[in-house]
Amino acid sequence: MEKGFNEKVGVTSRFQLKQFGENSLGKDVLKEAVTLPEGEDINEWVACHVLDFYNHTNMLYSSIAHSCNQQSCPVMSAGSKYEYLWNDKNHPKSPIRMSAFDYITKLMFWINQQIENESYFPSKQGNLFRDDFISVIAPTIFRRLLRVYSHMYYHHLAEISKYGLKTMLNTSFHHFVLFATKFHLIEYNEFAPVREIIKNLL
Amino acid sequence: MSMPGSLDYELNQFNHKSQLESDSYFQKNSIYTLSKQNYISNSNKTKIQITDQKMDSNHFNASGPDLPHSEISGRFYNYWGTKSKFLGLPSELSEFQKSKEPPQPFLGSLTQRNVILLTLDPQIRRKIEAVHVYFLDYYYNHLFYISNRKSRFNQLKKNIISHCLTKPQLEQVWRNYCINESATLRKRRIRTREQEFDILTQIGQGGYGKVFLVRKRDTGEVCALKKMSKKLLFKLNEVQHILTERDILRTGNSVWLVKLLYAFQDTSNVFLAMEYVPGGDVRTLLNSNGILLNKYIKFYSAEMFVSVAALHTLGFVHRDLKPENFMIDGSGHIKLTDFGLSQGQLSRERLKSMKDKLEKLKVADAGYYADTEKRSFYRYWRKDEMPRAYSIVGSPDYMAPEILYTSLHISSNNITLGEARAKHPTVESSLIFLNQNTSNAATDSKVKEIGYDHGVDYWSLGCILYEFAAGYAPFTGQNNDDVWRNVYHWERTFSKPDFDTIEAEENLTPEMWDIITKLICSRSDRITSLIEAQAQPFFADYDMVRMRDNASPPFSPELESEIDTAYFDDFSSTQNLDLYREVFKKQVEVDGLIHDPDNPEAGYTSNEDEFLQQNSAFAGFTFRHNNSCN
Repeated sequence: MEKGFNEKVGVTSRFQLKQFGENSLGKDVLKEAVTLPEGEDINEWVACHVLDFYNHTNMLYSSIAHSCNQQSCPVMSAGSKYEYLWNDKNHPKSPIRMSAFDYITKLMFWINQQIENESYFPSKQGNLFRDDFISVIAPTIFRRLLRVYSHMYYHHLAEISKYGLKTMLNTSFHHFVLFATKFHLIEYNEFAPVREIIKNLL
Repeated sequence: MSMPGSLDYELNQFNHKSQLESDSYFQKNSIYTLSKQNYISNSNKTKIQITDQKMDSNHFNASGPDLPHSEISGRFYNYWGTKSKFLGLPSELSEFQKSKEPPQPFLGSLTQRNVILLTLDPQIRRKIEAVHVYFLDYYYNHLFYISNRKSRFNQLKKNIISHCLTKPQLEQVWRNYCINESATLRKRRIRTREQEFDILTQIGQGGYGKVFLVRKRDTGEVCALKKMSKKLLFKLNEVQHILTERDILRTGNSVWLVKLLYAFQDTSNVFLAMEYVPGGDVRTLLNSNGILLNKYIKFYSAEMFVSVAALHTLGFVHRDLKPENFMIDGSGHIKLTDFGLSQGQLSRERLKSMKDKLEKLKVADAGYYADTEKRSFYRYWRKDEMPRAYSIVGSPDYMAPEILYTSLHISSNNITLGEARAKHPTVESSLIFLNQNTSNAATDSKVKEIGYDHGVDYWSLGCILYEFAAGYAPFTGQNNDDVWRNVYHWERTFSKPDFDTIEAEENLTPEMWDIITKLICSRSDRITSLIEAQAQPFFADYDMVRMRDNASPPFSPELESEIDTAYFDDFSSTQNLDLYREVFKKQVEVDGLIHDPDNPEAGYTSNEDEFLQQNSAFAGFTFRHNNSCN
């Protein structure tokens, strides 16, 4: 409840608050934040972060979605070198070229469907994860989320900076990369478009 | 909002400047190629901001070019600083009193970026604010979780050592610990759903949804669940209002405002689960009493003033206060609710209907009614329709005239309030005085003030006070058009009520009439702060900042249990449902909007195209109060 929330702040002195603000989102704290807690099921830990990063990208993209359109981004891309095509399940042989907005819409819709699927993301206490959760389901989602981050970095960074959201994007992406690397959720090659960005973050 | 001349104001200006300079620097260097050099230039920008923070708070070190964390430290400070500064608590109000300055209403959280944000479309601005708040909350909660979890683990280790357990016992303890921790983590991941709430009964019916009394199955919490259709909200252009309401409920940490417990959505609806306030609303109180005794008026109006001031300290203006917005809680004290129309933009539909009505009444003669007539209209013709007036049904009975003038001006000049504000970003507390357009002034002999601020809520309080004493609202008429006209020409139509009995007449004491006339008056003469209100002889009996500590309510709801709904309308009785016919009628009309007659299913299928449009519109809606995890 709100009250509890503020009480927490209430007991925190200004100094602690400063410590928290300065240290928590640095590299060390984020590294600690991705570590699997003692005794935790790795599936549960990864599933929880799928939700978190889905929410992060959704929030960040929603702030610039109004300017990501057919004119500005006719193709889903990360810079001029990398272009992504949508693999439609109805036409598996011919991937479709589409605007970044449509692509990301479809991608987010797809992730949302995965999350809502009880056999992939069990919600009832006692229901177990499938064996391929950590090897197939989660990596696919992570790989796709990386594209959304990449697109935002290459094509919408100016706006994100203007809105004062760059710190949020950097922190979230840093967190995302540390997590994905730690649990081997994204292949090394997949990071190619954003390698420079990551080098600067880490 | 910072005042011109104050340190904050200058800082804002300064920051604005440095921000612009660094922005243009970015442009020159073409930010699109993410070279190392650009990162260096970015960190330069951070340094500039850090310097600002230093001036602001004196405790931030420019800690080198590590962009992410040094910049966010400033954000954290600003966020918490704002959050803990004004929460609308009585103790804070007394601090205002000490400083002899009326509380300054301000807009949302204040940071240097607000100057830039002010020039943006309000809907985009709101999204950006939501992203900021979301990330600050997320990292705060996440790190809190991790550190708590660590201390739970250490505690377990300590316990195990001190108890000298056998191996099977040890395994059992460890297994239990892991199961509990995983269950907590899973709970954090699971989205709140409608199915988690058991519906006990319906307690409200609005234009675009219903309100139910519900109990959350896992926690047993009793709350009022407001369910609204996304499609209807889109069709009616009410999305912004719901988001504003959610933001206010979310930010508000005041005993005077109804609290938000959960906000969530599924593909077709959005839900707000709020604290259940069991005593019914002030409208119900009025309907069952006709007029209130003077001493009761004093108590309720004092608390209503405090609750409105609590909303203002959060930086919001309600704009549509009605007796039904004030609820009576279990202890008999007042809580303010229903923030749908607060501060955000009025929807275009509403602006248009306002304009149409105002055009009509400008030419027509002002309708005069004797007070006895007013009373009878109110009692006999309007009593069914009025009390259920939700925003889309819309009655201007309590609405300040500035809002009408401004709506007329804005809609006739085809600009939105947001645009007007963007043109005058430095104008204090959203009070915009635009020069009357010459062509307008020619047709309208009265040159009216354009623009409004939190003072409009005090006008509404005046109207409600009047109604407490008179039994009818001061500008009431036979229908809404009459009311519009009466409010527009309030200087001519406002008069002291006429009473049936001497008792009723004596009930309206000179002090009370005095305060009413200081509320129902032009903006420049009006009482617009709690301090000014407290200085009125009418409130001499009460210490307004300590109402909840010292004053005892005239009535406490007699409740059999925490789920007693005796003070709400019974939706299972057909006689009562009759009262809602206006609302239902409206709903049928609105339903027509979403149902394509050729394809009856169209209104309910959800497809991908709509998904992101709606998903993005409601991004940041979801909320869960903090007791539920951690």
